Amino acid sequence: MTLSRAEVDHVATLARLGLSDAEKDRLLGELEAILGHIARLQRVDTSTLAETAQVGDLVNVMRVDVPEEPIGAAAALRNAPATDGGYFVVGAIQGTELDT
Amino acid sequence: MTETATLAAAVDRYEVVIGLEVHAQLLTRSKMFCPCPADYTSAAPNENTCPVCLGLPGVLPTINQQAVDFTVRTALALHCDIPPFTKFDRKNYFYPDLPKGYQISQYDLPLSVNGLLEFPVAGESVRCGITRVHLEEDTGTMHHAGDVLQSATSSLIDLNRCGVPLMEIVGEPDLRTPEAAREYLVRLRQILTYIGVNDGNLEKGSFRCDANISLRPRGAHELGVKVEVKNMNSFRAVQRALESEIERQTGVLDAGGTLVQETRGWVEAQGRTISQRSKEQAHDYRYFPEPDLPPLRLDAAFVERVRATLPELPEARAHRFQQQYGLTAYDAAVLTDTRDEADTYEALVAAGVPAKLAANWQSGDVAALANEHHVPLQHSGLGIDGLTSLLRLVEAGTINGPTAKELLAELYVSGGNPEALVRERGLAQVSDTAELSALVDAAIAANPAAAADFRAGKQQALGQLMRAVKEATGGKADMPLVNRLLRERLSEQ
Repeated sequence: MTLSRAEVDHVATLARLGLSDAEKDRLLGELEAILGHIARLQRVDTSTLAETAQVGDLVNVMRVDVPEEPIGAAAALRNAPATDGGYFVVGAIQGTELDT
Repeated sequence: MTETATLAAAVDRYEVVIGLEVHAQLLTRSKMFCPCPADYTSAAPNENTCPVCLGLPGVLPTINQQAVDFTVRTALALHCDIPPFTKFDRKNYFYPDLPKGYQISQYDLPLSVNGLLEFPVAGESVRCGITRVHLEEDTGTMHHAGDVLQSATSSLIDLNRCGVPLMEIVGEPDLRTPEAAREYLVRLRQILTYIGVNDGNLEKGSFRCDANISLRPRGAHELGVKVEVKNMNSFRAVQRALESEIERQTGVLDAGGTLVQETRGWVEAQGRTISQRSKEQAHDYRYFPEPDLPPLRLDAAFVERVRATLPELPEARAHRFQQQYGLTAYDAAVLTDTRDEADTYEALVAAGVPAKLAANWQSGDVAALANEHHVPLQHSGLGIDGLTSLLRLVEAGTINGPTAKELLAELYVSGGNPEALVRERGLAQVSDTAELSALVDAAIAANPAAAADFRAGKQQALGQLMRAVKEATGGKADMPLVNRLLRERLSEQ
């Protein structure tokens, strides 16, 4: 399984990882090993098995719509690197908001 | 050329193709995947949060059953199919209003598909396909520098809204005019509020719309380059933004240019859309099945149980109002505009108020008062019961129209029993023929010139005589009767 350097760049960008060239070279090899392992799994004949995204048998697990006490702002913000007036503070956002 | 003329000329040459995507928050009490209160407007910032909606590691989301019910209810109201199997997926992207780094949404197996919305545009019925209705979660809210006293380099994050159930309704690109787009939204909002799943507030963002719009030369089969328009927070803004896009795209195409597929934001103050293209590469959401949530199998029994909770929809109700109460199409549409309005009307009729009388008063004076005081009838001092009593007095001829109007305006604010008030103040209509005949004679005697004018064929002269009788009874005279008595007496020689 070969992976291109451009694909590593793309994945790094999506993951918001700033990687050095040396790190990208190392990760290229590691990612190829992981993909190689998955490629082996893909050779197993699964034509007789039903397609599924989960291995458990659970279905229809739902919760009744009853609110419970939230943890509150003080607890929510306790580990935040920066806060202001009950808000989390983050660096200014450039570009556009994404779809919801 | 005027704006309208430019638009008309553009529509001559190009076919406009519009598809709308609506995000509607569901009226659940708790959030989509955690039991935090879903109310994000009245709580202090970040107050209604927990490890699940904060995106902390090691937590397990759970599906809010009411949100599933509401989405299926919506899907059924929009004539969608409900597939027997559905699941949630992760849509991956980094943005500070979504701390998990992904939104739980639905990708290839949504809760419902293949629906239809029918609505009137300028008297014609228009049909628009519904691609899908699926369920996801809302994001937190961000206050950028400028909104709050902050340094220009940071944003403030409030996660109270993060995880609020959000329904996405994707329409087919079946719409051909900005007006149709607007009417589609008006009808969709009406249905969502009727079935009690959404409060329909565009301004506050509980009902939001994005539009995809492209132009193609008339007769062409291939679709043109699609532009997505955002930031429209009123029906009017949607229509104006689309009109402005048609003009812009026409300009580019006429000049031989090519359009770019992009997202543009509507800027209300400037009356135009502005590109929101970022330098980032195309979105790559890397959807995959959400491993933390078991899938849903919604069997026929479940779907039928939800179907049973569907109220009569506005279009059907308006049709029934015409048949059952003999109302005009216009009156029926006005009286079924909201479910409350229609329920009020049927309560009045059920209490014995004649259908036409109830329709006239409810859509006339009562609607005006509701508008003036920003209080609907059912929350006014008068209430539905009070209005029923008042209209019974009108119907029985106990009070005349002007007296009823005055009482209505007073009781709407202060409240009280109309019957008791009529007795107390002696407001009962004077409709005794002998009593009125005497007053008619006195009015003619006191206004000989007016009487002579009327006899000479001047119809308007009757007004002065009518007023004289009305004043003599303190405004309580049965005026149709006075009119008849005056005409009879004046026609005698």
